[in-house]
Amino acid sequence: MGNGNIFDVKHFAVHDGPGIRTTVFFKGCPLRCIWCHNPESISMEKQLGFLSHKCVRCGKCVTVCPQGAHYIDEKGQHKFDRNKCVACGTCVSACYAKALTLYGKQVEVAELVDELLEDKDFYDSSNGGVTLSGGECLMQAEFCTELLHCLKEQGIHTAVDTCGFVPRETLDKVIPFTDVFLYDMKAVDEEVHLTCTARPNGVILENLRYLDEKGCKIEIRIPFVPGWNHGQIEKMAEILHGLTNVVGVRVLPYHNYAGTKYRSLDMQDTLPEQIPTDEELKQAKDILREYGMTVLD
Amino acid sequence: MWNRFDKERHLLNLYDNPNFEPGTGMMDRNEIVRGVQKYVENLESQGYSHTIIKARAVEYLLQNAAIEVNPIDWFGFNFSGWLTVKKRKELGVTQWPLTFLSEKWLNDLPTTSEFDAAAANIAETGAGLFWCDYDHSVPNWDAVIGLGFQGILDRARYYHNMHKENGTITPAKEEYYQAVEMVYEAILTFMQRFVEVARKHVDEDPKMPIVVECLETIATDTPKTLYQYLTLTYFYHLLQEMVDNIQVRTLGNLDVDGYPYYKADVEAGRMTREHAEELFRYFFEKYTLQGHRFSQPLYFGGMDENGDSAINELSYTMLDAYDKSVIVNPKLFIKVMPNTPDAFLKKALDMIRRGRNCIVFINEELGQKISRKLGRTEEETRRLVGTGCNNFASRGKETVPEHMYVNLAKGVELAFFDGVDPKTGAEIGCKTGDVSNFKTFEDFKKAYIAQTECLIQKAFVISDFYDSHLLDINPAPMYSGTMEDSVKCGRDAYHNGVKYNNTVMFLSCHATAADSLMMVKKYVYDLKQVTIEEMRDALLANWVGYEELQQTLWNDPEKFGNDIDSVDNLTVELLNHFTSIVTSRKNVRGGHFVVNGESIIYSHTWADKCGATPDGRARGELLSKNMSASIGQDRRGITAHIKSVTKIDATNLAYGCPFDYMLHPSAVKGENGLNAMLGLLRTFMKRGGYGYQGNVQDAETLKDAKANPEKYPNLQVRVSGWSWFFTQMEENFQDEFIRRAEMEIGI
Repeated sequence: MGNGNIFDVKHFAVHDGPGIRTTVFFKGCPLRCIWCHNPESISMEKQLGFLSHKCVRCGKCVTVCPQGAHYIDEKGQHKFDRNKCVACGTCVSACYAKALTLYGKQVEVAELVDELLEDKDFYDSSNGGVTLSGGECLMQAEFCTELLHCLKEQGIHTAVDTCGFVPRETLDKVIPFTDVFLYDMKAVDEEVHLTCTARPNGVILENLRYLDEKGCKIEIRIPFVPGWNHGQIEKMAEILHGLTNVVGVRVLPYHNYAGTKYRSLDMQDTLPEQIPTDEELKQAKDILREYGMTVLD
Repeated sequence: MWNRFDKERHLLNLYDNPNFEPGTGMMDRNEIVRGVQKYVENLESQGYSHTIIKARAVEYLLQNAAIEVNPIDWFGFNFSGWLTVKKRKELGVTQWPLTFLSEKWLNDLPTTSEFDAAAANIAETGAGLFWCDYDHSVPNWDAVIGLGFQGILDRARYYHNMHKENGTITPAKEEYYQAVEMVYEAILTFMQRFVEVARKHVDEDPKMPIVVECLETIATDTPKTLYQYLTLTYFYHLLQEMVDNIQVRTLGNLDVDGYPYYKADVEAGRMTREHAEELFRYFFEKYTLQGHRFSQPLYFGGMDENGDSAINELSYTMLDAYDKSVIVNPKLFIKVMPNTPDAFLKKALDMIRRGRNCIVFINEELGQKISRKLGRTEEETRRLVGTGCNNFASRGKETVPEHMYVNLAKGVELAFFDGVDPKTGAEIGCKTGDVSNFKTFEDFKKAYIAQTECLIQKAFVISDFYDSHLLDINPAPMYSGTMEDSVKCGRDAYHNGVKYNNTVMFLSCHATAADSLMMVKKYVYDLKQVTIEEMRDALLANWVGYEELQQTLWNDPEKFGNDIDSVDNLTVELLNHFTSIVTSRKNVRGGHFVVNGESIIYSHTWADKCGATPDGRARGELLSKNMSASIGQDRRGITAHIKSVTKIDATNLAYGCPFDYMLHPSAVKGENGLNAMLGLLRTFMKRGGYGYQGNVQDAETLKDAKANPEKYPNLQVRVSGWSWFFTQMEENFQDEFIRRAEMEIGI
């Protein structure tokens, strides 16, 4: 069994399935959503993040970096040459101001399960559990299957948050150990989906129907981004109306807080500016309700 | 008669705008206070004891105070002589007419050299705080409700006669009974005066016939309706707190005790649920207007004789009333058992989520465990009262002064500087030698423990002194009259007169202490990154020139509050050690010392007085609050925080140890969020946590409220064992909450 590549474990996650949960964020994603609020999740590689507002320009990182990727320029500002960086993490340990972060770490199933079991008391008293998210957790199908299997053996409720852009056989592997799928729906029209995520959505819609046919419990999650996919709600509702195992739909209002993370990774910030108004959100939810869907708050 | 509260709310402040009935007595506060002072001087010159003088002073006030019945208000009863907190601040005088007595008797008391030595520089150096405490008394509400004023008097006379007949009366007992009887006779006459005034106004409001009947009943008898029960509670509270000068630290178990009256009212067609809700809004408003700084507590729930939850329809009604009024006074606490209905807890949690956060949840199962450990009977254990800010006491059988706070973090500084406070040069600790002598962490820890034990020993001396003189400083005839044990044996309830006469010592700021020790262990002795001398110099320099070291220490995650066993176990070890020292010590009133783990607002008070600490904290920054991690150190979220806090054996901190949380509104929105709040609470209780209180706030709102207070008149924050309106708080307190809220979004 290989290691998993994750970038975060968030305790007290409340909106990733029922009850109090711990969410594991896996690294790597097949989609390229323009609104992605976890840019550190996209690449499978480890990445160094630099938070300039925390840097005290002490030069520690310059001293310890084996690759010479850090330097202080003539104005006394910290500079970082990402091309030289091999994400070894030496500078992160040296940075007492916590301006450097390493996104991505290799974990074994057993150690991850230990950490996830830390909050078992909280799961028990709130009917919560563990959610695998990302990125796209199912890009690491073997690891996820093993992890989910172990969690089920411990009696933990499991949720898999997926974009659905994964091979059918991957789903088959995790279905026996997954209590609920948190399934993303971003657009129905392929053209729109391509514009928003740079990938087609045929597989995604087929997989959704497949999970439904298999009797899997599904919670639909719709990132709602004005100017991008706001016109797709009715079409989504039509599809969802035809499914039998969708327990609820959650409309996730887009926010644009993730800019700092893009900058910390030297990634181009693709975030749309416009956030949805309350009225727009209400309209979207009303449409879903008209089609008989249970809209979750 | 009903549906008038919101319309007429602005007319209900009879305290600050009194309209005393002409001819009923002295209307001017100064006049009545001068009158009683002169009267007391005369009595003192005649050589009367403090007990008799106190009773006579109470009698004087109740005879001479002007009174008022405001027909617009269900609880529009007032008398002259005392002031609301607002008025007191405006006028710059004391709030209660008899404060001068206890102040004088305290000042007159010659201190011992032992006391002087123990007390020297404690407050000035932030090593602790002390005062002679009468603020945590719970009268026996069973007696107040079950006997009424007349019944209490009759009972005192009965035991008085019994002692006389048995030949067991002594001069001290004789004085005690005279005082109790004098006070309750005065109360009965006082109540009769209200009846007469109310009768005069009987035609002025549709409710007045009910008001007159109520006053007639409680002036002579026990209450028969919910309204009469609440009116009696109101009067007794006002009398004990404002006249007897002994704070009433809970109005009682109002939902449970009030329910039989309510049920009878409903069955007789006298009352509906809506009426009860409005009645409670009038009742609560009185405490809002009195404005007690730390709020007037009352508590909900408990269990009945079958072990079932005692939450009832009135509990829900009271929460609705509180919710609608948007107030922070009185303060509510909810006793939580595993069988307390989810629906009730969720209702309260939802209120907190919406900013109505003057609510604390206390763990009744734990309270019962503590009660048995303290040797109380099963019946006493079943009927614990919620008292003070968030703790338990025995119902009607306990008087628990809280004279002394010890700052556990101060010992760290004293260990570095051989018992001397480096800022003032005062020698407040003991001699543990130069830090250079500490070759191992165990050496250092030993010195820390010795310094802290030295402070605890001083606290014993101070507490013993106050405990010995409680009767000299402020005899409590009114309060004692409610306590059956006291009336039986003829001793003041503050003078060993009750069954349980424990004394509380606070051991505060454990997280700052444990984090500091952990950092010394790690960086000085394990990693050897810094020498103990360098650490000392860095602390003395308040980190100036040592910024890198400070950041390293502050950012080190091995701190209490993150479910990391090393430091959590150290915290537990220290608390177990210190609590065992305190609780194995007897007090001078026939009881024991017991511990409360709160730091309340003293994490602010001591911040400037305590120098830098090895956890990376600089002088002036807050010490840790209550049972929680230091601000900013709970990096792994609330679940890990709760796990750390509940590793501490709360039965050792029997008289209170609340956990304070801060949650971001987005984390607990929607039904999922409410369920998660309930899950946290249930887990906390299941793991043996004591009190659970906190805030659901976002930093942006708090910052905006600080800048634009006019936009947020109703924004509440939970301060410690009470809540306050954010915009009325001092700036340093506002900043604490902003900083705490920023943590939630990782700034």
